[in-house]
Amino acid sequence: MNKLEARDLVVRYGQLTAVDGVSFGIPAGGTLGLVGESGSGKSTIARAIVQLAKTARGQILLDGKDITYAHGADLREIRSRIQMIFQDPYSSLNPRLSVGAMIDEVLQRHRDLTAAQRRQEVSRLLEMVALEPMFAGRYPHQFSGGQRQRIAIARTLASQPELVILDEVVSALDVSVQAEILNLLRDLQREFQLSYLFISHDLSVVRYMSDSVSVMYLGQIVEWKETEELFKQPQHPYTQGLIDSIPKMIVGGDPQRIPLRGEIPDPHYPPPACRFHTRCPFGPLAYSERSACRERDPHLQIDKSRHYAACHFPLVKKELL
Amino acid sequence: MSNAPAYTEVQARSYLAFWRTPFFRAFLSSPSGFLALFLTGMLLATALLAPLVLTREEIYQRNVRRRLEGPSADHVLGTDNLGRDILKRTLYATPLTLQLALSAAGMAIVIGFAAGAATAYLPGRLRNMGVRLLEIMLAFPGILIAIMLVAVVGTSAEGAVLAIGIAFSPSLARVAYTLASGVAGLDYISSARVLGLSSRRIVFRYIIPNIAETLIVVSFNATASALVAVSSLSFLGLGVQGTQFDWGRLITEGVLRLYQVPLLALAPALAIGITGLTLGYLGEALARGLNPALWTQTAAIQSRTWLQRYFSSEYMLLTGATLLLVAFYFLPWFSPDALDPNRTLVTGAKILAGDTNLAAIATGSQVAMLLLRTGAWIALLLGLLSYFFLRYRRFCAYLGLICGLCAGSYFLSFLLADSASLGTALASAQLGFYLGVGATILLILQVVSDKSRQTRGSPDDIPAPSQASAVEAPVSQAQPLLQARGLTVRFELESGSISPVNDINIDLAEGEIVGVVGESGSGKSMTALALAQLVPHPGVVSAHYVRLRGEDITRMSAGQLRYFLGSEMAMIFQDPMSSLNPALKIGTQLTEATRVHRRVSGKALRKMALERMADVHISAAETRLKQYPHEFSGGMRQRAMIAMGLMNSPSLIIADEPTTALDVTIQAQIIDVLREINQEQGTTVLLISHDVGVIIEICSRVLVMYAGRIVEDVQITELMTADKHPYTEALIAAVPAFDSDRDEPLASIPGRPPDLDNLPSGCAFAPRCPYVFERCRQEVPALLHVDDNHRIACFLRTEALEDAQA
Repeated sequence: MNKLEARDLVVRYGQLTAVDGVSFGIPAGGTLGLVGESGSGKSTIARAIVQLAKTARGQILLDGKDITYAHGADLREIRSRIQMIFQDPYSSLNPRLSVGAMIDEVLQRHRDLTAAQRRQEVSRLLEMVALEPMFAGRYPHQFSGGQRQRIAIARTLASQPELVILDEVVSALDVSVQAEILNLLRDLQREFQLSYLFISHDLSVVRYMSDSVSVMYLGQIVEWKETEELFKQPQHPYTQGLIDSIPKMIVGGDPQRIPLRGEIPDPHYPPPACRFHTRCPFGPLAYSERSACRERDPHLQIDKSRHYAACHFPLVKKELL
Repeated sequence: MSNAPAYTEVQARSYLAFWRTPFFRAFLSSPSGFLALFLTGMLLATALLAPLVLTREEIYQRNVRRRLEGPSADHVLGTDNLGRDILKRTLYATPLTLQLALSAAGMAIVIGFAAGAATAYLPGRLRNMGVRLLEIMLAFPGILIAIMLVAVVGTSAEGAVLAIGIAFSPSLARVAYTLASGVAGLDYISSARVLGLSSRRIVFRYIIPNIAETLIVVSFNATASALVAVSSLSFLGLGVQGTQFDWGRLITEGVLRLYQVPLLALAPALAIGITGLTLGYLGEALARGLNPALWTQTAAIQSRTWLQRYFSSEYMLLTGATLLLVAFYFLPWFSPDALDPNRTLVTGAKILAGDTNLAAIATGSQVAMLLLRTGAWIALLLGLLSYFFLRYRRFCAYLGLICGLCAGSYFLSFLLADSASLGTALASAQLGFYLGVGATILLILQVVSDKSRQTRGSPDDIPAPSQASAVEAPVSQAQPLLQARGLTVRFELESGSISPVNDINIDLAEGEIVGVVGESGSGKSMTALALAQLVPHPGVVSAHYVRLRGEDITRMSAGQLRYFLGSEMAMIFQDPMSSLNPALKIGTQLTEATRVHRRVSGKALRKMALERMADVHISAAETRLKQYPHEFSGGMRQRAMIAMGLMNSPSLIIADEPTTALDVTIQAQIIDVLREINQEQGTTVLLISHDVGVIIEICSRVLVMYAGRIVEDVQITELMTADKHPYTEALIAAVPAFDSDRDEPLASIPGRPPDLDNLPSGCAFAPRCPYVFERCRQEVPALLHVDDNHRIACFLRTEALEDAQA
């Protein structure tokens, strides 16, 4: 049973179609990873789920119930169940509120507690993310990036959410701090049965956090797989390219890697048919007989309710090509 | 959990005394806060008391026999055309003027802010129309619109208020619109919406507090403008009518007799000026009070008394010197027996030089007045100097105060006694003058000597080199291209001095790619800036020497340095957008440095630029050269930056986090470009990065930095196998590897990097180190060779070696 499901989601900003027919499911108590370059539409999906961006078409289901256009009391209830943590811990906390006050106002809104209970709850939440309860009286500017991200997590937990969207939550942090935050997030997931949508451009972090991973390119999901399977046997050339781009701690670099050429095209004018064919090292650029990539959209022939790779010529084994 | 201190109680306790609240402490964190408080008090007292204390008789009773008199004991500022006291009339006009200005400003603020905020939340097209409308209204000067409106609504005090309230609202609306729409897009507003907070709460707790600072400053400035505008209307006869009068009307009366009794117009004008100043200071101080960042930052400064704080600030001097200048320069003018103002400076100089002849013909009061002016000029000069030499603010502040006091003390004695003797006048004013001159010379000497020390780095500035750095040559195999010894960067801060880079030695060989890695705050970027002599003010770089191609760049003049570094070194920064000039075409920027450094024809230059663009794999280079930075993507811009760096065929490229802002796919491409340049052109690269993975992939050697020092210097080939510094070990372990077990928690480094102003004694990493032992907490480990390719600063790794040597 999926905690959240998106069906054929389309999000537009004016002329730009940022998310174009995307379907995925986030398992209850599990994590779906979402990776892709900047401009691929990852964050837009997050914003659409929490209704910061308007969904133009498609459905979002929470526990099987359609919440795409929820409003009023429904929306308020959903707000307590779906939470989001942002990338930049320096801009996502209101500089004018003390840590205690910002957690307290979430408690006031979503939980029926007395003032004394709320104060205790603030202390408890701060301890949960390994911060001193006495920090409640301090203001955001007194904390480091890692500590701020912990505060954001504590504030999120205040509403007792079921699903938390993590939008590049560690990319602004040092590696040492990044590891601490990731460990904390995993511990919290186990303790509270949280479902995560984990968005990141860093595949190695996504691999560590996710049960399954969706790879996005220009507003579409090009591959969706169980994590282990995706990293062992990527089928879409773009996934392979992303994996190859990550530094592998190999001195002098991985000699086998096939680098991606060029940059992500202007999303206002995505290439026709397979959107990746203009950069694909296994597509018509390299093999002239593969004209299908220029002519047919690989998304049309796949079943999006199961794991898939949207490619006419999926990679079988790296060595064979 | 229940024993956790309840924060609200702690806060409540600190609110018991108003003057100890964070708001008020921040309000007073700058001397202008005191000034604002003082001036506001004076203004309010005047406004409230003047109508009570002064009788109508005093204000309106004519006394033609004593008309147009100068200042005297009876009439401090003299009398007007009808023999009425100027000072009393000016004070009496205070409440009416303030009332008019405040109601006009209040109206403008309410209309303006409401209209601006409403515009910000209109849907797309309507909003555009609203903004255009505001801009059209802004194109007309407010005062002109006000005059037109007065003509419509009729000339009266109420009419003037209404006209100004309406005329001033568009500019306020524009500000409110910009602020509101700017804040609405921020992350914390989005997060508040996701948290499900009500719109009312978002507006009152998230949006308003975050724009309140600016709104308050703008409102108070608008009030000051409204005061001027109301006075202008009254001055033109379009405002206050009948027997009523405000400052504007008083000026109207005074202007007619400007050459007979200048104070008649100047007194109300000065009142307007001082009130405007008060409003400005008050607005700024209130805004400061609302900023929580100041609530805690000022805590350290708070430990000093307010007097110390006041004297330690440049505000005191700037306001003090300005007031002194105004007071001392203009007051003698109105004294009936003052010397011709145009001759005063020359005459003053002559008297001070001992020209008794001149002194004899002048009276005591004349000389005093004249010297007061000289004192005022000195105070102003010191004020300006302190403004430019920020480091000596405090010094200048004291000097300015001494000069002012010397001059002022005589001014007081002159006021108290009817006239003063020539002797006292000369003595006290001369004292002030010579103190001022002496202090100025001292100041200039200090600044000059310090300037030279700052660039050269005098020997006593440099900490004694650690034993190891003298003995141990850094790891490198080939001919050194760059050698730095004892490189230190220091910042003098309010709280003490910190060294982000602390006595490090770096050797770079020809053709090497050397990585510098460490957490944020480890000093890696500062090292890069120090090598390029680009450390921002007020940082001070010192070094025994920094030799590039054998030439010591610390001993070069600014001109030499610019030329030398321009041709030998290139610097690439993290954010390519902010390091390219958005107003110039890429081609122009690419060729600019070469045009300066070498004499090359335009055609050859273009060919070179095209070649460099090809080096960094930018296709369609011809077209690309004609484009502007905004037409490039992030990766393209970074390529262009590298191409620009390559134009002069430098021997060293320093790249500071060149791929951090880019996608992984683009990062891989940029790394390939750097590697190619290194291999094909033999350029040495110093690559600063927080990403160990990137460093391992491209570098031949890596320097690991922690808390301003190099803790490890190792060939990459040994990095993965040899025993490492515990910090390096932890850094590498914290990167989630591709083959790691996903069920295990990630390795992390407990604790945080130390604060640079509070370094632990001994090894800076000791508090976070899993292998720490007693010696680590007492001594700072030196960077020692464990083998030819490897230096470590850790007792765990080097103690055995030391024992063997002993």
